[in-house]
Amino acid sequence: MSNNHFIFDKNKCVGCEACVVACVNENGFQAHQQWRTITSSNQAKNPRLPLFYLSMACNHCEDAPCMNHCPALAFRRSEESGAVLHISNNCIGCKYCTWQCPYDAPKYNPLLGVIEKCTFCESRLLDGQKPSCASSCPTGALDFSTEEVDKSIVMPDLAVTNYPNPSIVIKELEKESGPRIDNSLFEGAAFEKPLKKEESKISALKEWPLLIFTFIVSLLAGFSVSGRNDELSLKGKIIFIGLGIIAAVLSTLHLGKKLRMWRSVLNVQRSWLSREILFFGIFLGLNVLQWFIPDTLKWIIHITAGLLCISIDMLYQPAQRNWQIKLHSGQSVLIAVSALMLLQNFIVAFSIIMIARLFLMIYRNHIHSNKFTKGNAGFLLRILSIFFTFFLLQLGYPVWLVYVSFIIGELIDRTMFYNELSAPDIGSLIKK
Amino acid sequence: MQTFNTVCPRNCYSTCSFKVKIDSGRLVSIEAQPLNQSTPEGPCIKGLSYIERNYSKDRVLYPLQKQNGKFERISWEVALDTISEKLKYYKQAFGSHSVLFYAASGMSGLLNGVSSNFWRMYGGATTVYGNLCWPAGLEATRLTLGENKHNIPTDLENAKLIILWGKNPAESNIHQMVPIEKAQRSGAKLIVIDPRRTPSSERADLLLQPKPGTDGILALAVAKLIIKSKLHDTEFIQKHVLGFEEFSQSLDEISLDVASKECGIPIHFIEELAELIGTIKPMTLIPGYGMQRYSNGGQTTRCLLALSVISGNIGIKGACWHYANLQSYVFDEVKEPQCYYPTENDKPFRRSVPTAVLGESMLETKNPELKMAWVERGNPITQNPDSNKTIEAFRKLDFVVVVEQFLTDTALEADIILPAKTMFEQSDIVGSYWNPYVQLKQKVSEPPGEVKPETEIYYHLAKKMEFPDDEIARNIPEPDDKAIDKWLNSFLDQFDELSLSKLKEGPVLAPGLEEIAFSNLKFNTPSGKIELYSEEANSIWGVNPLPTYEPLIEGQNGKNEKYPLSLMSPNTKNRIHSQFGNCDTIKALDPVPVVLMSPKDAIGREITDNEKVKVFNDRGEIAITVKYDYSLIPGNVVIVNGYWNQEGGNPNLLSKGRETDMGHGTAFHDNMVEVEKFKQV
Repeated sequence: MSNNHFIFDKNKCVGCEACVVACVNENGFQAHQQWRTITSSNQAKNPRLPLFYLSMACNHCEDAPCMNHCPALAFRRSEESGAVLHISNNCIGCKYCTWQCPYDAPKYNPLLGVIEKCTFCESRLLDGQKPSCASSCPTGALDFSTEEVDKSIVMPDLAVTNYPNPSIVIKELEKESGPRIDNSLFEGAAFEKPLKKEESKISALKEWPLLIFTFIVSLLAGFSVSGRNDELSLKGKIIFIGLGIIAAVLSTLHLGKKLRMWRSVLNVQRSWLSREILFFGIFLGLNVLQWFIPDTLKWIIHITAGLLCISIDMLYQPAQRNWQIKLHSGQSVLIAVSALMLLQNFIVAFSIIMIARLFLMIYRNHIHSNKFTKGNAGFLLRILSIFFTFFLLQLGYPVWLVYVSFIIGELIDRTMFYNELSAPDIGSLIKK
Repeated sequence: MQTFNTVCPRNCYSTCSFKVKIDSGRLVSIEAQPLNQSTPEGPCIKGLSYIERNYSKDRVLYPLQKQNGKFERISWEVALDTISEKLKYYKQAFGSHSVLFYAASGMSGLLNGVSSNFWRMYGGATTVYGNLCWPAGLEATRLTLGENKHNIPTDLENAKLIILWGKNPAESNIHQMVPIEKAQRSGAKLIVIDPRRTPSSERADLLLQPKPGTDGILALAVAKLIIKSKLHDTEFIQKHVLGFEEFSQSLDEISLDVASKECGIPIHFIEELAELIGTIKPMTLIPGYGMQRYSNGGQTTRCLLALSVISGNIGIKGACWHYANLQSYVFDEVKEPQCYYPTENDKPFRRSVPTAVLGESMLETKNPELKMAWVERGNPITQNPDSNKTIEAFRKLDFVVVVEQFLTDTALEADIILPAKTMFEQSDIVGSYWNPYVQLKQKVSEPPGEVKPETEIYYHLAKKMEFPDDEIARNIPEPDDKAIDKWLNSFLDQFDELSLSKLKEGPVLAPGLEEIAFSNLKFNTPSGKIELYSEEANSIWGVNPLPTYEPLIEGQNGKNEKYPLSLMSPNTKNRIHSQFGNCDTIKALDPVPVVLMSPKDAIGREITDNEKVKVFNDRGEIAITVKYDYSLIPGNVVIVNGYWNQEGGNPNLLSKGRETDMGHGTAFHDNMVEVEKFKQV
């Protein structure tokens, strides 16, 4: 592993953005998002809080999450420079790497439909020069070195759960507080709640095709395990497969490069996204096969359905970094199991699961009050839907009405799940 | 690939040296030039944007003529014929003073002198006097210290107390942040005094946020406390200062309570500041240029400078009054701010138009009235105060020529636009008002399209005007690179230390440089001493001979009921005045014009964050997006300087044409406005 690394001194950076322009000079204009960005620790300029800047691009991690989790094997490690390089021709534009990287390094280019990112200015490195950004910092805050460092101590406050050994040394603030000021200038109601600029890269609205895809898949999985599809008429079978195909089509809608979707299963070894697509394919195939050779495939379908739902939930893990508990009532496995219980008519088990999920939601709402202010209507609707489903069950209403009520409730929950996801960005990194 | 040394010729403190790489005639990279010890790490965001700017698709590459409201390409032949016909006609019909020659600070260099030569040959013209930037502070400093010079930038590392008073080097002089940080590392204290909380103040020990325009009374209150506690440097004062007694007595009239109320700084902070200045030496006091662009700017500067004087922080290592360092202006005959005054001995020029009051004065000029304007290196429509008046004055003219690189708001007012060179397309010698170097801006690529440097435009125009050949030869270099080198050498030859070949190697320290300014304790004032009491201040400018606090004309400290908010229009890191904002790279970082507002002022007006608002006063209005700034003191709004009318947000639509109390500076920071919700009409 090469020792090439950035050095960033928080004491010296004043947010001038010369590094950003230097990057553009070297790598071309980055119309959508600059590869290197400067982030302020205090965006609303709250006078009571200190303010410092972070200049971040790719830190070329030793254990690079983008590379590990890319389903299409579109990243590689350069042996010469240690740089993590993106291979544009391999990229399917799924943006999954943008959920994985703790430093917000991969940037999606909507014009090209693929990811772009910092290359460590590899050609400059091989030429004995520093990366363009590091050689252009007017205050000397951003620098580059090839000397050996102990990477385990390099960036304590930028460490993330799956510590990826980034190639950067951060020099911490020697004086952490801001200047002393006359606080009386900033008293009164107007100053009590400085705005928080939190806009997640992921939301139900932006990701609706994926939302519907994973939702349909969860229901199909529950349905298939319940054994009810054995009883399906030809029409029912067509609907089952039709839904599967619709889901499959939806899942490709967000891809920047749809014709390369076949690449999404190339990284089964490491990427949950590859596994999800693979299990989905197997699941659908086995279900079709089953109609020709009944009974023989039952258990293998059950296992595949389970693995499929687990894969879905696992692949959303990195976008749950702000959650205090990693269990969400709208997760795929829970939807599938609830559907299964309902379809099997295990009303007691169904009720217990639904009540448990309700408590999970209330608890989440309690500890996440900020994020929830927007979703309050969904929260209430979700509670209502659960009790309405119980109500319909209790009074023996037609079963289709129960299912409709159940599905609406689950869709609300899954929507809330998406709205609560947050892909990493530098802002949330600083807050840690 | 070839590498050249060059220097940024913008109107900026840093005046960075940098290296450019040229590949097949094309500029491909910009890199640091560590030989300049003041800017060793390389240029800022703007300097790095030169590659894009130089090859911008928006550059004017051919002469353009307005026909039916649209600009059409014309040949140089037609352009020069048209202009010379007009010039001949106006001279004959109304006299040469009916032509206004307007040049500003768009690009510095010795060759700019050629323009004046041409207009002298023409028989003179009307020119503007004064300056948009710094003369009130320059004059205040000249009256007090005799000269404008300060210690070399790296000497700041030796300071134990640094006061950034109204200066935000993180954005306007980023290389100064390096010695500040080094000084802090060796134990120096950093105090920032600024109504805004800027990136320069984040690592400071103390940030005082006075009301804009009240810095003078804050400084006097501090001076009073220093003297009261006997913390002033009596030995230094006795030997080198004139008027200390009078100054000291005048402070009796300053009440601490009144001062505190006037400037909005609590008494305990004023006491702390006095204690710091009185006890920590050496102190470097670094005033910015924004403060002196108020109606009281000159006197305010004298009040601040008094603190450096009474504490004996002049002429020693780590201590100076860090306003402007004109030591590298070795070729200027008149270095000091007198160069901005109307002088009697430059007869061909009529100086009837102060740049501070450009629009109004152009309209009022009679005998003869102005018929034509020639604008180069400037963008008066957005950069001079009271844009609506300036536009009115330009539209009243018969004929306007603008030499420009881009279609600025001023260029759009032209009848003929002539394409201007960039810094890479003609060599020139550039001084700095901050660092101590004389530098060469090298020609590194041929002008694209039909671009011609100004000297060449004037040469051809002079021929068209049929000026005598020998006179042209004396006044304008021939249009080739060798003639330019020869022209520059004629200046360099005065100094053994300077030559083109040396300057090509990198920056050269200015001949006669004093690293520690005034270390010989000689002051070029009438008394030979530092003059706290200045007769000249009174005889030239009619102000009190002592530094005094004068309340603002417009910003009456919250007493303006119709327009209760004071408008600040500071510079931003993203632009030099109106330059660079049109680069895509810069736009990506600074996409829309905004007005910064305290949430307290906004909520009272039911204005939400990111809402479109109207900022207005009797002079004009701007529709602009509001951004809450929680760190801004209530009662103030901020729109940074340099937005174009074309993109919206030009603060000079709201400013008043008004001269500063001294130096013929421009008091366009003394502005009151109101903000309300924007209603679509």
